[in-house]
Amino acid sequence: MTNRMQKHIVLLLFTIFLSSEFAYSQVVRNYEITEWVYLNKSSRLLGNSVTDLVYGNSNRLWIGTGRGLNSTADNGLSFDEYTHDEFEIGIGGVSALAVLGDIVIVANAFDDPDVEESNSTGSGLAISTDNGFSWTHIDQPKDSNDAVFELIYGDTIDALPVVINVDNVTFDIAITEDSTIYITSFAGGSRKSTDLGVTWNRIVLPPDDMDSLTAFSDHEFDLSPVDNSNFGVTGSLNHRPFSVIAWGDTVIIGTAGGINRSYDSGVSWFKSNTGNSGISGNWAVVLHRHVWNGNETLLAATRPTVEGEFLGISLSRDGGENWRTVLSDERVWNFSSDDSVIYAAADSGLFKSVDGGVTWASFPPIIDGATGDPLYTQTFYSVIKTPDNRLWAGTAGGLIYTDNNSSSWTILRAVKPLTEDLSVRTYSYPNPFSPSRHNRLGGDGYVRFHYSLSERSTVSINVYDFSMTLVAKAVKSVSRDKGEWDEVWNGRNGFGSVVANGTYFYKIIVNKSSGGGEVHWGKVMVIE
Amino acid sequence: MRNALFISVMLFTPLTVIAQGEGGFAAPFLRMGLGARAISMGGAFTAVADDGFAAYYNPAGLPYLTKRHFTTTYSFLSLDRRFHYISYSQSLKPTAGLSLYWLAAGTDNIDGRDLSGNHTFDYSDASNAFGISFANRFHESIAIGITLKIITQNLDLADENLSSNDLAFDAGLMFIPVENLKLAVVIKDLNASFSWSTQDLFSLGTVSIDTIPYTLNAGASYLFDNGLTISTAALFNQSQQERMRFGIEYRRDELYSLRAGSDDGAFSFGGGVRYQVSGGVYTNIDYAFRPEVVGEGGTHLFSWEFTF
Repeated sequence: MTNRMQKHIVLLLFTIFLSSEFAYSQVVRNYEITEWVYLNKSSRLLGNSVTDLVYGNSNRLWIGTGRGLNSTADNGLSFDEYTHDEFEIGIGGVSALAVLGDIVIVANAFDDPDVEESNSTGSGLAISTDNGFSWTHIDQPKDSNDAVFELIYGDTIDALPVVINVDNVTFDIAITEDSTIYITSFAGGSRKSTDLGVTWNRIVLPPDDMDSLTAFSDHEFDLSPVDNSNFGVTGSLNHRPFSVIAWGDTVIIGTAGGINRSYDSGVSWFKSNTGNSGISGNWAVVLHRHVWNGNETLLAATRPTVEGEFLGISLSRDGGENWRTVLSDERVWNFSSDDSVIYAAADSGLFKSVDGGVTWASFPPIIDGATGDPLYTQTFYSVIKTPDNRLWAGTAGGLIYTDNNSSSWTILRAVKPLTEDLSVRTYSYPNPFSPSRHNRLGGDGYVRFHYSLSERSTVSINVYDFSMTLVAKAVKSVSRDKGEWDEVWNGRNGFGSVVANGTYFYKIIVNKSSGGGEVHWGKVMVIE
Repeated sequence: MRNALFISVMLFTPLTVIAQGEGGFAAPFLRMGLGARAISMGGAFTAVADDGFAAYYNPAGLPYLTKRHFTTTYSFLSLDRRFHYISYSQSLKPTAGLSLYWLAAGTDNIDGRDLSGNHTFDYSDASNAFGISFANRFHESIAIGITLKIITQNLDLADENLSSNDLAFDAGLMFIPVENLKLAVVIKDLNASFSWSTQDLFSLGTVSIDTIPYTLNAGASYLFDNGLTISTAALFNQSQQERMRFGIEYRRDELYSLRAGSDDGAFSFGGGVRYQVSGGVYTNIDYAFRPEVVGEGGTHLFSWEFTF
């Protein structure tokens, strides 16, 4: 693998967690499962990066966030939390989630402060077979030290055992009707379990220079997704898997080297890549199967790994042999089907196709119908339409839904209430705040100033620098009811420039409707 | 008559209003003014610069020092801010002057929060300026001084540190056309910027550069025979509106001083006492109070200077 390619892969992995809440290592490091956050609408959501949405039995919607697993069985009125302490869920954010009936499997990952130069560390899988009532933890699947070979069609090939959890993060899970589980772990390879995760077998995919792996193909290659030195990759790109879908005996695995199809539950494989089938990029991060009126469409969101490849969606109508690009330059994170409609959640918004994925339309900017607040992100990670016709989307800025075909939306966000620490009258978040990274909307990033009002008041917020020179008037005399509020600042001064790195002081001036007033000061560190 | 004209020119220069939201530039601690004596005179010290703060306000004042000055200052600032200064200054006979100083500023107890508002760590922000000044008197009435300073800023995020530093220059001129009248021009913080790399902090780190704006200071001061000094200074900042500063000091028999001033309309006052420690060693203790400007809380400053 070239250095350039390695760099791309590292970059890609970083990107996965970029907007999730383990973008800062210290967030996950400080993972406090006792510190509940609550949802400012009604109940509690663990984190505002909603990366997975899957619908299960008993009207339960499963929600994977950057801070852990939630579900709701009452359409978002209340949320259940599945934590490391109470259940046997791995620590960290949700990296993959799969549901089939009452079987729920979640994979978690965290950023280990003791590991330098690591993207993240897999904290294992947790499986429930009773719709989330009880859970069993599964250590991050890996190999024993002596697993130095693998048998394929009676031939022995050398294999590098993957023995650690660092960089061994499960990014996708598939469950078939007979409860066979397939996982794709970036550094840990593709694995299969037929006993609900008790034991796992490595899946051998074709190496980079072969388009298939059958009884008749060459068996002279190694299975070594990684050697353990600083992301050095000695194995092939095609042994670094990222996405998986499976039904019946069919398994499709997306890797850094293409899209692999198996029709015999993962024994023989046929590979599509940019060289032989016209997919937009060899790095297939998400796969989706859409079936409507008896027609099957396969969709793959791809990333470029080398020159000539590009971002986009590739689409196949012939079971994955031939592909065409349908939505280029979009960084797609997830798909979802609703009868004939296909949804795609992407970095630049939510997309919808009504013609089987050939043409796509984006949704207009999202505004909460009740509060008038915009959604301060364009990054969508996940989307699902539930049977009651509610369209849910997981974004980098919370969980949103619409019941009326997107004419009005509700934005649900996690925010730490001030009532839990009475010595704090206001805080800013995220802090530090990066205007080019956080809560991006329309060319600006936004930090929130959180505060509480005991009665209806008029509120102004000014921002000052160390010398108490006025930097900005973030909020000018807005009227707010009793309760906890967020106001936003885009990190720009009166000249319209993003301010220099450093600490800024904000002053919240509250004029109560009953007379009298309050002033609260807070600090925000800006790091561009 | 000449004095009266001078006073009227200084006092009736119109105050300018601070524009809305003109802050937000790098290293604001360099533009705050310091020292109890100078702050109580509204910071109008460019054309005074006759003590241990000369290196900060105008290095061209150094050759006119008659003693060695060891100076330290402590500021009680609100909102967990720190701001300290320590310096050593002396003239170098026959015509030169030298000073070394360290200016430290910072903010503590910054409440780190994640994207959901959960507390992470308490952060801090520390800035420093290490200066060395050299000045020379080319004539009885004219001196030029320069300061070379290393400016640093460190953002301490508990488990990551982000820091940057650069070299900056100040250059000053002191002109004494007639006895007791001093005119001065200083340009401060030339050529400095902070370069930041966020590779270790963010998943997709970048490099950004924050330019530190330079400031042009022009001032005048006049010492009356009765021990009264009046001074003024105008600050022209590269990025911000000009500021006008005025100060007045009454010094009685080298025993005590009373001072008042205005920094762009913000009033301050203070005083100092001086006594002999032993032999040729004297000490000044100065105090200044600067009322709050934007409701942040007032500032108490203490300076302690030894001259010998």
